[in-house]
Amino acid sequence: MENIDYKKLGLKCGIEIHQQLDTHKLFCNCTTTMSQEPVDEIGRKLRAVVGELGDVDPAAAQEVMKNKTFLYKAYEGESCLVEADSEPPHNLNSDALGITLTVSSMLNCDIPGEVHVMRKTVVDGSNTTGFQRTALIGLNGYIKSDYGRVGITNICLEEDAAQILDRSDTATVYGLDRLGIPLIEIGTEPDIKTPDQAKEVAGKIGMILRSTGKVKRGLGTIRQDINISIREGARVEIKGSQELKMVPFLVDHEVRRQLSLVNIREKLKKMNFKRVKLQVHDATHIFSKAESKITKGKKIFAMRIPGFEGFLKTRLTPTRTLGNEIAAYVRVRIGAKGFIHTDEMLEKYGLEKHFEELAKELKTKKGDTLIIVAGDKEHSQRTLEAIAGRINQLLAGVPEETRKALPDGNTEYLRPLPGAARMYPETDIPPLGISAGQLKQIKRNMPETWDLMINRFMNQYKLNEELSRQVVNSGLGKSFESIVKIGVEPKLAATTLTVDLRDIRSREAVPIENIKDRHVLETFKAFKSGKLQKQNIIDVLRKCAQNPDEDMEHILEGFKSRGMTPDEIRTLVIETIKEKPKLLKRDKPEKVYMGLVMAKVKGKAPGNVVMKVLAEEIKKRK
Amino acid sequence: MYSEKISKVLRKKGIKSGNYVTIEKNGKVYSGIIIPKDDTGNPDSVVLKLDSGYNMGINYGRGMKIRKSKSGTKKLGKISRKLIKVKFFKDKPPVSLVSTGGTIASRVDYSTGGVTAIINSEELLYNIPELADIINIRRMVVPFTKMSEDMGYRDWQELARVVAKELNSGSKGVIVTHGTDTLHYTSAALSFMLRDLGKPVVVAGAQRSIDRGSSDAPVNLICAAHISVSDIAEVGICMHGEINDSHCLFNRGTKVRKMHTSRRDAFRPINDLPIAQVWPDGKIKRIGIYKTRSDKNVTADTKFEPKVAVVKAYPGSNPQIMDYFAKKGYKGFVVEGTGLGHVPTKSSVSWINTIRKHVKDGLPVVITPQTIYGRLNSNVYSNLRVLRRAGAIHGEDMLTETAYVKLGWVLGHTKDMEEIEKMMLTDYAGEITKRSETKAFLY
Repeated sequence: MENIDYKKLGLKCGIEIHQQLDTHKLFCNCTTTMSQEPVDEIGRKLRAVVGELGDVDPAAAQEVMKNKTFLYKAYEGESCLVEADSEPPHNLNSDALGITLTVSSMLNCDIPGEVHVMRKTVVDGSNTTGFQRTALIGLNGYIKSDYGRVGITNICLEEDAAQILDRSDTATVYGLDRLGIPLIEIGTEPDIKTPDQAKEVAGKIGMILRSTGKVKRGLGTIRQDINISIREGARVEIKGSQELKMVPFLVDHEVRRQLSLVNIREKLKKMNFKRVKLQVHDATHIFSKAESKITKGKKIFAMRIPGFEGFLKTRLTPTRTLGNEIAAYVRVRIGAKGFIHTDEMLEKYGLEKHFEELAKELKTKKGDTLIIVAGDKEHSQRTLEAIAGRINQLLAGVPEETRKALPDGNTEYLRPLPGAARMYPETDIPPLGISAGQLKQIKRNMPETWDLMINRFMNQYKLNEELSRQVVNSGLGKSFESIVKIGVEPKLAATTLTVDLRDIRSREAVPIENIKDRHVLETFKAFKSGKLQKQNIIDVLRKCAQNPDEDMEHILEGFKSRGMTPDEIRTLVIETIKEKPKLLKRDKPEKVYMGLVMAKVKGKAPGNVVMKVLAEEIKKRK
Repeated sequence: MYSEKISKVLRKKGIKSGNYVTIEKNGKVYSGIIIPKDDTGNPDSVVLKLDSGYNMGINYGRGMKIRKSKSGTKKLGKISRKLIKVKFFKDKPPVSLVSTGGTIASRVDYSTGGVTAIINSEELLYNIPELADIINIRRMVVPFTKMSEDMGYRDWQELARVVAKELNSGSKGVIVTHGTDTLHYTSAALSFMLRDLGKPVVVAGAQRSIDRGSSDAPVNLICAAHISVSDIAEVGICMHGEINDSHCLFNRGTKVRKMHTSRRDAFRPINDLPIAQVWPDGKIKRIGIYKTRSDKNVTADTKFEPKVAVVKAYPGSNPQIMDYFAKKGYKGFVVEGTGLGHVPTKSSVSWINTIRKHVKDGLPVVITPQTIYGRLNSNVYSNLRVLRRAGAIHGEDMLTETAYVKLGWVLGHTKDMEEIEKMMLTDYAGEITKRSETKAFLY
């Protein structure tokens, strides 16, 4: 891959971080653990509404055109009438407001004297109301990075959207358990100049969020959106990056994509390329003779693009061509499966001859491109229209739009950029005054940043740097200190909270992010008082992670009794293997069995002993 | 409203809401559009709409500077004309729409941030173009614009006259849009006042205002349109049948009650089945009994005695409240009794003597069930018989709200106690059922 001088290209990049807070929901008292199975389903319709400036928003209008039904799964304890848009919102969650004020202060923001909750129009169904509630809590802040200071434009407190569970042509299914979880949105100024700086800034903001000790951990609890443009390009918003390490790749690929589109524009201008005038030709009679599965038994419609040869195979990024780009566009816009064009290797479809015949029939000149689509007439017409439209857009360069992050660092078209007129006041929530006293209180109780905490742990508890960093990064720094305070040896505390927990996550997929400070403290209190064996500490924590809402007394009870004898353990292991013999054929069967056995052991035997017996018994049967 | 301090500064600088301003405070600079303040929040906080679309309040304080930074005013909240023009077609059945206010006719006022009534009644329809496929709204009448908690008997009288006039002048049916709080009082009033009704009168509201994408108004109005041109010649309420946006129930105007503060399916039939279930695609499933369409001219019989009081009997309640109303010139009572129709009888605060006295003085006392569901009885217990002998009228399975409206209407026609009792126990508009359907409980 050739090197790019981002500065020379005038890269401007801003990031927007969305982080879930670990409190109850923002406008009701539902819990936010997202651990339940749905118990009910609600069906709804949404409509585009007139915005504040008296116009329908283009992004909103597009979603409505699809005329869909939205199905919402409801959950016991995790959604109520507020999420079902059947009860007005309760007062804003004051814990969530406190955390957001703290983060705003840590990021050097101004804080309004009065907070106004707004409604941001969203009609893709991800909010039952048709809007997302959001409030500006901080503005005009900054964060220092190794590459220079980056401005913080806005810090907002908003409701998370419902999670999409399934999508069909006529209905989209969402889960209401995520809807309304408090979310901090932090947006930076476009001060970021390189992909590495983007990663650094996203990482630093993440650290600040976690240092409050009140944000959620685990997959899907933090999301990064990226705004990018280069001087000759246009603003593009990339949504849905869940992993920090992907940030620099997304930035780099988007720069390359925009650069390629700029180059294509220049090339087209130079060759005096004329805007495509859509003429649709019915080519069914030609392709009905072909054996290809793609065309067989279908109506085929064709379009000729004069002088466009070679462009569709131009690479926009190292792994994506203009053809891929346009195909993704028409898939989202029109719901089209795709198209076939003469810049492809037509041999793979077995359609070379048919394209030759089509070329003759359309009096194609050298340097033209032919495109065909399959499907009914109306749909094909719309698909070809969209393709022609996107090609004509090339003459203007990079289109402003919202794109979706793909796991390989590429992106694809998602929707037009939302207009500016999407916000109006939430009339169900009165403005909230922020007093000077409240701010003083917040400033007095600012959490220690993680950098400082790592250093302090090294000095105060004599941990080495690596272990100290791991304890802090695990987010359990406070837990660590609370158990050291009751006399637990720092090294034991640190390794339990890092190495041991990481082990049960990677070996048994235990959701350790559910472990709260109180779980850790109660467990080690039991250990210190002699009620719990050292080897059972991790078993208790495992159970806490699996049942975070269960009474601690109850969990500990299970481990206070006599432990199992080695014979009893072995009998239990053999029984379990006999019950599910098919699992032996799985890749790494001991992992699968481990969970099943440990559920039966109920903490009466240490995990490492069970694992050993399990490995022996599996080996015998292989 | 802004405080006098702020208003004075704004006046002095010639700044009006909608102006683009720059505010400096403690070395920080903010710019945006100045938004007027409603009755919420701190009157000393200036509200700006920033370019990001967010509103924020900046507390007025020493050293704060404010100035106009761009000329011109943003016109907030004006909806462009072309968006609200709805075209109807002559070949569709003519229907009148009577708009009275309420959530269904409310939207956020962008200039103040509060919810206010839609001034232009066409705005109600811009969002629901499907209506033009079903009906031709030949006339839109706006007799008054009120939230329903502010309505009274004069509004019901006017509404009855307006509806009768529309029905007698060529409309196949009438749709009345109305706030939901007292929707069932109005539907009961129209049920009694519209005599010889031969066409549908469909009352509809919304629990979510029309300015939000999730409003229940479109489905309610589309279903109401289907009923308005159907063969069902009844007054009824057409609102969501369930929490889904799937279908509506058309409930008899005298046998329906708002049973939830906020759910869109709040209106339930009480002691009766719905007249019909109706789907937005026009399917109508007829369930209850109803009168069918005819060419009779409807008359608005709007005579009404407003001095009727509703009082509730509960453990420890004092009947002197009735004396108070009597002294104030009230002409009749609806007493919401417990169980099968009891009032405290043998307790230290017995209601019996008070009721007996008022009945003797010519003030009818109608008992209704505070259980909401079920029929009253005057025989089962001796205390019921004592109350009956005191002259109270046990109002069968009538809702309190319906009995209140009916007693006002009856007293508008006669003050003769025997006649009043006879009329109260006569079924005029389906308010008293002959049979208690098993399925009618918690429908």
